Amino acid sequence: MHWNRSAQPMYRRTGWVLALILFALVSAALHSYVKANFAFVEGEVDRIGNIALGEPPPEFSLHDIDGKRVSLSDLREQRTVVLVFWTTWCPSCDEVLMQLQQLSAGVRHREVEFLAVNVGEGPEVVREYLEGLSRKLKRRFKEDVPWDEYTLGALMDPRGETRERYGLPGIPVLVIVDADGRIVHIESGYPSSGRRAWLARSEWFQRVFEKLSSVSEPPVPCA
Amino acid sequence: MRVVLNVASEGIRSLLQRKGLRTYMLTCTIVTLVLGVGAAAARNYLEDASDSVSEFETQQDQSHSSGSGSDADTEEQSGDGRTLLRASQNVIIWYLGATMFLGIMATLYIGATGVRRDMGTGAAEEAVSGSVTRGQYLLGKYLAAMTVGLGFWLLMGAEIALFMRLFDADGTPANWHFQLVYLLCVGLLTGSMAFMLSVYAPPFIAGSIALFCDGELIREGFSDSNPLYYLHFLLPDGGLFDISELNEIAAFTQGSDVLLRVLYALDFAVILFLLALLRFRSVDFKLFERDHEWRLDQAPQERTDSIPAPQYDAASMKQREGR
Repeated sequence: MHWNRSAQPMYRRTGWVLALILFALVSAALHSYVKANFAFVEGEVDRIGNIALGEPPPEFSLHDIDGKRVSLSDLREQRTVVLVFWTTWCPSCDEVLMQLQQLSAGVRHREVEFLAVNVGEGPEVVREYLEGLSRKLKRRFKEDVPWDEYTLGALMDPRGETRERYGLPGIPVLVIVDADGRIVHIESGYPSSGRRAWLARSEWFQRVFEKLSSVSEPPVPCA
Repeated sequence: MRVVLNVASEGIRSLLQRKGLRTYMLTCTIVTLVLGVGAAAARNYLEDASDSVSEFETQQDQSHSSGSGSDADTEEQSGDGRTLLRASQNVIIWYLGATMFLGIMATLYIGATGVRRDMGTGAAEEAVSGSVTRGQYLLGKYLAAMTVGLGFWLLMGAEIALFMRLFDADGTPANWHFQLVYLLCVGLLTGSMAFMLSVYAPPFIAGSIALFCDGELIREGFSDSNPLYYLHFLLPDGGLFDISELNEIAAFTQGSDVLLRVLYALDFAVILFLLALLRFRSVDFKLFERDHEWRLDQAPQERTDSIPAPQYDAASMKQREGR
């Protein structure tokens, strides 16, 4: 087949235009994927990874630190569930877990279940870390207060499969699921640095506490 | 391709012949080494101090439980321990911030003057009037600027990697393993942005704008209800490669994630180069005569550090091949 010489520039130009369009499409797809999956936005968010407000969270069934199997669906019935994803190497997770302990004391008269999902570590490491956290809490709160020791259980996600199912780019992430099984609040990250971190932390606590108080119900009295 | 490589090699030689740039690079290397040693010493000192305070606290706790000791003293020490530990962690962030700032400044300078200086001196006009096309010339100059800029980042990144080992920094091990790759991506994005803007604006303005052309600033500065928030999709996002932030948020990093981030950086580099080419292929070099006058106003020793316009015609190329 012979190309018409005069037609060559037109074909070449069309080729370039097509290549540019293809490049633009590939770029748009790549940028959207990277931004959606890797850009970590701190604070209250509507969506992160594979979870979004108003949607049911992905189901999981994990062992707790003592080897007992716990399923999200079993706990969710008639209860509000607070999920926190954490690891021992995360710089701000100890603060989050301590806040969680404090929160659990604050809403203890309501039907709220706290689940701290450890990602990618073994029970020994987690147990040792939580013992250290208890010592830290005791040191910090000298008074005889309900949050002067870490008592909340931890679920083990040793291979990070649950974290992947949720599509979380980083941690800590806190998710509140109401009694209807819908996600009602997502907190991404935790303010741990910066001049006004103390203020941001108290706001973080306030937001979560208010949301928990509004979505959870006091326990039904026995007949 | 050979022509592009010739332009690139001439560009690298021209950049490395700039005395100011050479001095800056050498100074940065020495300063970051000194900073690294100082930061490592400060961190060790603060960590030792924090450990001593923790031991003291434990002793106080024990004595308190046996009925002696003062609550007020213990509370004060506990606060001191936390402050010292936080300060030791901040040392890493300061060191990383200072090193990255010095590196970014060099990349901005190299990117913003990589081709703009030749447009001002008339070297670019002379070169493209011969056998070299404008596209080949710009690509060669871009490759030269990126090679020198990223070479410098490689040096700084190796220093950071060395000191991070000494710091025994907390954080996901995976993030620290890939930090050199991330630093190169930051250098590539910053340099490409400055290079692209320099074709449209004078070097100082191009460098200044490139410093703040970061999607992360927009993403964190505006809420998603503000239309300006969506601008962050159009700008390279430095937050994706910010190693201290990645550790702060305990980001999970795997090989495939790093590959996608590198592809993202490369893709942006191509886009920025194409934007530069869009302007350069039809630009009237007469517009840059003012740059040329500015160059002539410089001190004689500054003017001589720029090499004469290289020739890329067949004879010159053969001569170079012979060499």
